[in-house]
Amino acid sequence: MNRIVGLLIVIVSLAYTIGALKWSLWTEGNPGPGLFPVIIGIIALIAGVMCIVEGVIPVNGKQTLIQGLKWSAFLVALTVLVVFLMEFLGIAIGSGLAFAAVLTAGGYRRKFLLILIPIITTVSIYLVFGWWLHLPYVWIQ
Amino acid sequence: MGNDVSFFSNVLYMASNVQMIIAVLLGALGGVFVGFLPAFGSPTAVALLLPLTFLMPTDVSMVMLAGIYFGANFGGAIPAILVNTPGTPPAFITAIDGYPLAVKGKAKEALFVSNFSSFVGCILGAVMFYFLANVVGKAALAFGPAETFALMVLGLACVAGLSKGSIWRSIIALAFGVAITTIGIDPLTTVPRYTFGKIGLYSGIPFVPAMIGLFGISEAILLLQKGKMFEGDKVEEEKALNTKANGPTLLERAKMLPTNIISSIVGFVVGSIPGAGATVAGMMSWNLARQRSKTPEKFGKGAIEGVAASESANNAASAGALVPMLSLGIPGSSTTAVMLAALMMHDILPGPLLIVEQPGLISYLTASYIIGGLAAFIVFQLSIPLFEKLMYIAKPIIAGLVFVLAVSGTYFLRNSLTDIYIVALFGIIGYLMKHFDFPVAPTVLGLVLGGGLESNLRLALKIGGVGELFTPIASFCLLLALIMLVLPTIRSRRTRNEESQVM
Repeated sequence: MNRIVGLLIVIVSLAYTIGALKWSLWTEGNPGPGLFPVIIGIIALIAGVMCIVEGVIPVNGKQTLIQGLKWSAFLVALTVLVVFLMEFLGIAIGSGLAFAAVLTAGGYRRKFLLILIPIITTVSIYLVFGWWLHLPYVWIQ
Repeated sequence: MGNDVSFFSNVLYMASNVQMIIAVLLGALGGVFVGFLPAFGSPTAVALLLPLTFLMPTDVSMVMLAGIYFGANFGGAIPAILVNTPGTPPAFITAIDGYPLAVKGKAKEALFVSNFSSFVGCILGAVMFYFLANVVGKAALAFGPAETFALMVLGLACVAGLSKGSIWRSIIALAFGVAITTIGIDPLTTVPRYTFGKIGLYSGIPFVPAMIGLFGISEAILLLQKGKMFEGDKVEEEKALNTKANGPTLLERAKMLPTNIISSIVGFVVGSIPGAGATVAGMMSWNLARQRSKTPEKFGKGAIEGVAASESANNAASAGALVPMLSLGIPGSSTTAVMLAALMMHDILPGPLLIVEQPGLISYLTASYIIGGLAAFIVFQLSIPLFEKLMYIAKPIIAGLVFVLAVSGTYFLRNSLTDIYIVALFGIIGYLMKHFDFPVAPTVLGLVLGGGLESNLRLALKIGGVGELFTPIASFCLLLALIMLVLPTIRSRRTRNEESQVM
């Protein structure tokens, strides 16, 4: 795992640097658009190689990573849902529902607060952004 | 307001005017609260609360703006200390020591030191602003692209101090942040870079959603993961946070003053250079405090001087950033850019003529910054018990709050749905970085400084070739950067050698 992460960094840095070479580094006495990315790419490449050599990438538990990635997937799905809901219900209700989803998925079991917190969130977002600042997509379209 | 009334008369006038006191307290309250929210930050706080100031006379609105400005700066440190999610970009340096202190049960101490240091930085910054507005403004004019580039390199080199183990990990994180800024249309040649033909990427990756994702969403993922998996750890951690420790004693506060004063001076000078900003100022001061400390090994693990240095510097830098904004019309930070717009809406046109034509305005604004800082200090101090209760909120509630604020705050910044997806994407990147022990802070600094770093480098090379990069000021900054990079490496090797000898 340690070497795989180091190798991935080297591959990405290499791809980034090679990608920058298609733009000129120096044209008509002026630095071109490729110069800066090439410098950054080379620095990242050296640092990536040094990471592999020194073996300095500590690896935490595989189980933890899988659990974290599951939560990442959950939040991405929730983001897509919020964006979808925004178009019809507005961000105030969308956010309230998203809050309820996070609480439920996170194992929160106090029913009264489980209902109250999303409602407060919805009302607060509506009052600040919709009623006060008149921003779009806050309430039901 | 434009008359040359003395600074003290202005302070007395404001302190005795009920309307102004209410306005500044309201501004500070709004500023601290919005700055406290992880997804917002001071530019958003000032922008969001700006409409309030239009309802008032110009002199009252200036005082209220000052309250909002410093309130937001003060408030950014609260989530940084309590949940390791900075409310403002410079507050991520406060989180380096503030969060470990909170975990050790010293949240109250960290919050008090943060507030007191912010206040000292704000007051000293305002005083320096008053005396040095003309001088520093002219000095900042002397900084060409080469000097600005070198100063930014110095700021980035300071990141080496963040590296707990290896400097290479820090450099990779930094390079990643800088590389992100190269996505989009090249501003000098209009060549699209790393856009893969997607028009949506032509304008580049916006910094704020990326930062919110890296800090906020990744923290939400970790909170949910810990809540689910480590019930035992959770209880233990909450016990540690539950300590009702008192704030620092008078003697401890007095011991902190030299750090506060030095950091305020560094912060003010760096903050007055456009583009350098409070983040670089905070990082430099944090590193300086660590170099001066008798126990540098405590930095990054919960050194109270680290919190003091960061907060004094970033608040003094906020005052310093007002110097080029007022004297040159060049905003030194995104918050001062919003402040510039606010002043112009009140028919005050910042620029070199302003100081010459309206010398009284500087004294009035200085007085308002002092009153604003005092109001922010009072509001922050009175709110500490409330913020401390945040510690006892269940992790899913904090995770949900961070998610909702990140999504809604990001959306309302530019009314862009794409920005919401950027938040989610960078949230996962931030989580992976944290999982594999890559520091997130250098990435954020790279994101902040990357654009300016490239444009200043290319401008300097265009003006005078490679030789242009070695003007006396630029050489000094680059040399200092090299020292900053090499020093932690030597130190860590020496520590490792000592440890191996002991074993």
